[in-house]
Amino acid sequence: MFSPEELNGYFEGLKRDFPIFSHDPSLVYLDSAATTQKPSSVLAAIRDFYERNNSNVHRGVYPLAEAATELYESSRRRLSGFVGCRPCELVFTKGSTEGLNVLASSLSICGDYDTFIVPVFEHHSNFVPWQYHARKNGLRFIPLPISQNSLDMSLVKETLQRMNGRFVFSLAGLVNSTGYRPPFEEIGSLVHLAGGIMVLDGAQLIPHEKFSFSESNVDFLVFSGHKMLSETGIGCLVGREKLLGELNPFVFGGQMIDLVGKEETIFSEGVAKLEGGTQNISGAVSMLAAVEYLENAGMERISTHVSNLTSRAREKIRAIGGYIIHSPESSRAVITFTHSRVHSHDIAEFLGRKMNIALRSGHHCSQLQMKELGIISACRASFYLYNTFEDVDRLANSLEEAGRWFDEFR
Amino acid sequence: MSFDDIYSDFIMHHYRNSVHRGIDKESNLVEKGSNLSCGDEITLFIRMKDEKITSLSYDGHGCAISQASASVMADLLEGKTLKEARKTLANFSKMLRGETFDENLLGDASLFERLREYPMRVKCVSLAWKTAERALKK
Repeated sequence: MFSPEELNGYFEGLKRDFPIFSHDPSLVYLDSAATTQKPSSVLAAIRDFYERNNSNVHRGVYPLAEAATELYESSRRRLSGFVGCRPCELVFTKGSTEGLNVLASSLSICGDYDTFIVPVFEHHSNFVPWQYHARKNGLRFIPLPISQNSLDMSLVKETLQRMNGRFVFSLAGLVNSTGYRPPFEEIGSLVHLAGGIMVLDGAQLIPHEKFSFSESNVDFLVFSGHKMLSETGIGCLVGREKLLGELNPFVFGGQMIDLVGKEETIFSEGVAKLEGGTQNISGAVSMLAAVEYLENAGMERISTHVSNLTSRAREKIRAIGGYIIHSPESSRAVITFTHSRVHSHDIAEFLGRKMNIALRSGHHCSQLQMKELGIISACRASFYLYNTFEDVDRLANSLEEAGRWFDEFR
Repeated sequence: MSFDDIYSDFIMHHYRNSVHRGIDKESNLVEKGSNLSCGDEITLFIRMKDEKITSLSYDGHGCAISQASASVMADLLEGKTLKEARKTLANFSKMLRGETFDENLLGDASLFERLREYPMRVKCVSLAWKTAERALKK
């Protein structure tokens, strides 16, 4: 077990693997919840793929096509190992948003469900698809109320007790706007007890925590590559084999077809059915390299270090006058706050242009969560493995300076 | 552009010292606007008399840029006829879109032209102006 300082030293060393920080050494990047920076090994894997192995997958019989297919499928195997599922349970998508859209669309028309339940703190991408497809297909949509920034477990239980067993509960593993980590393990059990199925939006969770799909109470999991060191436009949808098999195709085209007749078409089975059209092959290759990087760095170490950074930020921001923290005490990887008199965009501009600190401001695609907190917008700092204590200290000092600067005009 | 260029003395002065800020219960034209990308909201209170804007005030919340922009707009539109005001608003829109515009019609408001390079902030600049356009269309 490392001390926080030792871990910080370890990750300070790893920061050198990320070229963006050698091009811009003073950059403090605190927007990893939006997208992460990429290490050289991931960038090299993408380049290498195009230089040596580029071909379409699952098509040609020539050796180059075989090499590309093997890389694509080895990424599927490696990613399955990473999230503890079987390769036949992992579908490549464009990202979490697409995964959630596939699920909401398909589960709303399959006839097995009559209710979708989603807490109101969810990212719009885990809220709007459920709301839209429920409304469109005559299902009941329950926007589950929250208490400030957290779930009220007695309300969750009460809601689930009223269910008839034909429902879907979709929940973030880690909430993007506040860093709240709901007790999804416990909720998964309750959902199953009530006869429903559980969808976990792992966009923020999977980059930060070791997760085992097979040991979890989760029926579907989605996550995105670009939030865990890989390219944009690639992600995964994981599902229990039987449930995955029952999903309707979302994109119709090549690869997802067995037999096309003039009147009717027979679709492929398994994951192929959900991977219509040429997929993002270099994206899959980049995810393979990213998972290798993350596992070498150590998921537990990443988890602990990011928690240390978050706690340090919480203490330091709290010590500065004028700022209000909206994340729960136990928030992970994310800390959300406002200044009592200065707008979040103004703070973020000050930090961005004067201090070279990349910090998010706005509603973080979570308008209902902002409403619940009684605010319009907020600043959000989100951390990943390349952040250090020095970054947190520069954040805190700059926030203090920003507050002072704007206050002088009062 | 640096922080000091964006948050110039001109913008910060209007942000902090606007004489147009406040709810006007006597106004006969009220229009609400919001910037969906960040949740900012503004309400304009306009007094119209004989097709002329005799007073314009605003209330709401937003960043320094959106508040300063509302203040500058209020300065500019007060005293203008409906026709003049519409022309001014259209001219401001042209400026933000990068089209040819008449600087003389805009006075201090032309200082916002430099923010055109910042697509995220154009929405902040234009909130009050778009809201006024809607109000005066009626």
